[in-house]
Amino acid sequence: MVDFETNDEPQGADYLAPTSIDQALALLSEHGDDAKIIAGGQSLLVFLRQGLLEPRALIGLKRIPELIRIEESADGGLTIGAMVTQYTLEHSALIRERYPALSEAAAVVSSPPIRRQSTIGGNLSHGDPTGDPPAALIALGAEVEIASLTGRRRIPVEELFADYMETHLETGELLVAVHLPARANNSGSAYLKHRIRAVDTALVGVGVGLTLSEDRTTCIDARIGLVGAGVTPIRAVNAEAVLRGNQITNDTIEAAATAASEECEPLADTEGSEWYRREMVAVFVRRAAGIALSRAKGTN
Amino acid sequence: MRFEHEFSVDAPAERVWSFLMDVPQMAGCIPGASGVTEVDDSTYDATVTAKIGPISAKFGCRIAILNLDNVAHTGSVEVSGKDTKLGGGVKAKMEMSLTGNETGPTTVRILSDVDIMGKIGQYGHGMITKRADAMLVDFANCVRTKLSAVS
Repeated sequence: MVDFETNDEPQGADYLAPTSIDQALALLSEHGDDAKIIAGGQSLLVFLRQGLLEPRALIGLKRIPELIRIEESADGGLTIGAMVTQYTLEHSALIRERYPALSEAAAVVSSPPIRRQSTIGGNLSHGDPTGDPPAALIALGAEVEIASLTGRRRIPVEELFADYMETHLETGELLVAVHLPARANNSGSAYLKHRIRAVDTALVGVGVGLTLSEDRTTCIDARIGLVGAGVTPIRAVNAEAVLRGNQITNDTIEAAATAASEECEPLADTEGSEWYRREMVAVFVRRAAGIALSRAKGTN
Repeated sequence: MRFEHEFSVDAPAERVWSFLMDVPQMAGCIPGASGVTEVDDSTYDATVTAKIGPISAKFGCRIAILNLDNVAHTGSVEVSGKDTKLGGGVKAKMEMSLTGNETGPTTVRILSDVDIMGKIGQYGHGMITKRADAMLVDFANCVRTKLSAVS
């Protein structure tokens, strides 16, 4: 039993530790809404301690080997298990080389002790629109793999999020992996985070991925992910369209930055007004696009 | 937080008014409302469940009808609710008024003043405002659908 301190009498939950995905899915199905999945616990424990959630069972994923693998996939991309920590992503030489936006995003999640526990799957499943990894993963064209008793499915990261802290994960479903596509030639990515204190979530976070033509004159693909700019992480498709198929100049980057600031719908709160977040989206799209561009050209 | 909602209902003013002032009926349109019980002819108790992300708040509410003017079709509804488990509360005052004639359509105007207290407030002004606004829009759509259906 695990006890949580709340304002009322202590509530407890059974901690279950399946050793395979199938076992975890069976437990999920058995307990339904009475159970919560616990990955790194960095988001869940906050809710539990405040008494905002009272599950009867916690399904811990730490003993499932398949979930902590990082493997090259058949198409030349990368498969990252859901339980891989931000710390691992931050320090992976391979990820830093091929998918720098992801290592940069992982490196700015909260603080080092939290990065040791926080997992990529937990972060995505929590659906916080101010977390860092979603923007980077959207910029990298990543997909999530979701398992259930009826099989597996894959969807682009940007389609995972339904509403504020709500994903499209159905009851009985488990996010098991993130898939990154093969890194294209002449491509580069970057993630930049705007926040006042180092340990906070993003006021605004921008991930940009750019792919250039062979002669490096034209942008053949652009992907832009934003956090802190809406009730969910979002993909700035209008801003992408400004870049895609065109030469990338200061003017096109400026136009893309403006487009991103106009298509997002930031929430206002004590950290920043809607107006301020829109301004910062433009600033950081401009900066991140510049870094992604120089990486794509190989001049970084 | 203050909101202003205006919507049109394809029904005569008299029928819209009697629907809105019939709390058990009207409460059927409040998102997440259940268990409406009468305390006296202008006071009711109900449970309203609201969810943001994984967190569900269950408010035990007292609903009071005040300042009723059945001729001018104006009145206010005061809701005061507490979620003892989460340690939060809500206070809402809604001023309702109708404009329209015998045959309809009728325009319903609701001016709301909503305060959220306690842990739920941590979600931040922006999110709570959005959610409260969405609930009022759902309420309006439900009223419109229910009244337009039976003609």
